[in-house]
Order: sequence, then structure tokens, then C-alpha cells
Amino acid sequence: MLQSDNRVVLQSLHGVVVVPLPDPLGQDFLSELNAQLLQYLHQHSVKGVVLDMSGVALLDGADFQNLHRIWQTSTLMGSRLVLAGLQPGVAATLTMLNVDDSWTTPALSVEHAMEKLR
Amino acid sequence: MDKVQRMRILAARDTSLAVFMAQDVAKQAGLRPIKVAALATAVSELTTNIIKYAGNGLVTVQVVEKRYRKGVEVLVQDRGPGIADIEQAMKDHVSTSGTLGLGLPGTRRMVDEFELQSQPGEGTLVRIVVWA
Repeated sequence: MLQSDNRVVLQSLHGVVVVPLPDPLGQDFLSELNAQLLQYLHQHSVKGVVLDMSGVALLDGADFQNLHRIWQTSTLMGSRLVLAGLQPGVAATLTMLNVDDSWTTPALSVEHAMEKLR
Repeated sequence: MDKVQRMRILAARDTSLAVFMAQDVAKQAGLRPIKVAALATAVSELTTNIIKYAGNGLVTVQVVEKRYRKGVEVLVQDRGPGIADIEQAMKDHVSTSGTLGLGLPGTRRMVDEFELQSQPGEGTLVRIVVWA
């Protein structure tokens, strides 16, 4: 549960919302992202959401739980969500934490994620 | 002898500072990025427990050496309520409140050495080591 500032950037690209995630993530940022994404998905028709994880060096259990909530929000708003660019260390620690990752749609990069959402 | 770094955990933001401190020491000790990530995540899990359950605590980080091999040792201690059933706390489970529980089994898997001492009413001490 790391702390960071709450500046959320939502980029629209070919009908997909791309969100670069900062490092560290933190509960405040993820709560703010969830709120802003909910509002955006309510106002715009989008094919999907890509969370760009390439800059995130650490993801603990609480962060992962918050990402799950964001996935639930997106899904309930009729949008697919892809986690793009997970660093090897993050992927390794998630497997060691034994978290439920059955909901995730991973992609190697934002470009790969965009292809998945086509 | 490498310097011992200490940090008091008094508020949620201190967990980030403790993670940065551990990351810096791990990089200086020559740990690979994947091991730095594991150590940092373990420190995040343990210091988050301090905030959630004890309110405040102390983190100590130092470089250690064994047979010419460097590693990073982290002690995370608090004087909180302690853990009544350590065996149960070390099992993978989801708590009844829907949270991830203490995250201790995952933390143990992320590090090379893991020791937990706890007495109900007296607090908890966790020692972890990640070797280069």
C-alpha cells in the first residue's frame, strides 16, 4: 500500500482509454483512477481500457486488490480492461503472493493491448 | 561493515519511504532487479501490516554477507497486538472481511530467509533476507 500523488492521465487512442500508471502506485492514486475512469466510461463510448504498467516496479497485494476493483468497474460499465507491460519482477512477485489473477487480461505492451482490444 | 539504516513507521506514507530505503540498499548490494522487486514488495507487505494492525513500528535495513555473498536483511518490528495463531497466519487464505489477510505466506515465498516472532499483546518481529 504505497503512497503517491493522485494525478490521473486518461489518454484516448483509437477508441481505447490508455492510462499510464505511476510508480509507486498507492491507494490514493488507484481510488482516484477508479473514480475518474467510472466518470469517463459513463460519458464516452470506448472499446476498452489499457492500464500501462510498464513504469510500475512494485505491486503489492493491496495494490493488486485495488486494480481488481478498477477491472470490476470497467467491466460493469461494459468495457474490457487490459494490463499492459508488466515488469518481470512485478509478475514474479504476484505469483509468489498467490493472488487471484484469473480476471486479468495481460499484454506485453500497450501496442499488444491495443491489438487485443481491436 | 555496512551502515544500518533505520526508519520509524508512523503513517502510511512511511511505508513508501521504507520501500525506497530497502530498494536503494538492495541495488547497492548488487541484487538483480527481480530480487529488488521481491524485497521491496515484501517490505511493502510487512510495513502495511504495521499501519493496519500496530499503528507504528520500526524498519531496519542492512547489507549482510555470508561466504563472500552479499544480501540485504530487513527487520520489521512493532509493539502491536501480536499474532495469536502464527500457524494460521502463515496459511494462504482470504480473510472473512474480503481482504488479503496479513500477506505473510506470500512474503515468505518472496524472500530467501524468513523468521517471525510474535507474542499476543507484545508485538511482532519479522526478519527477512534476500541474497544476491
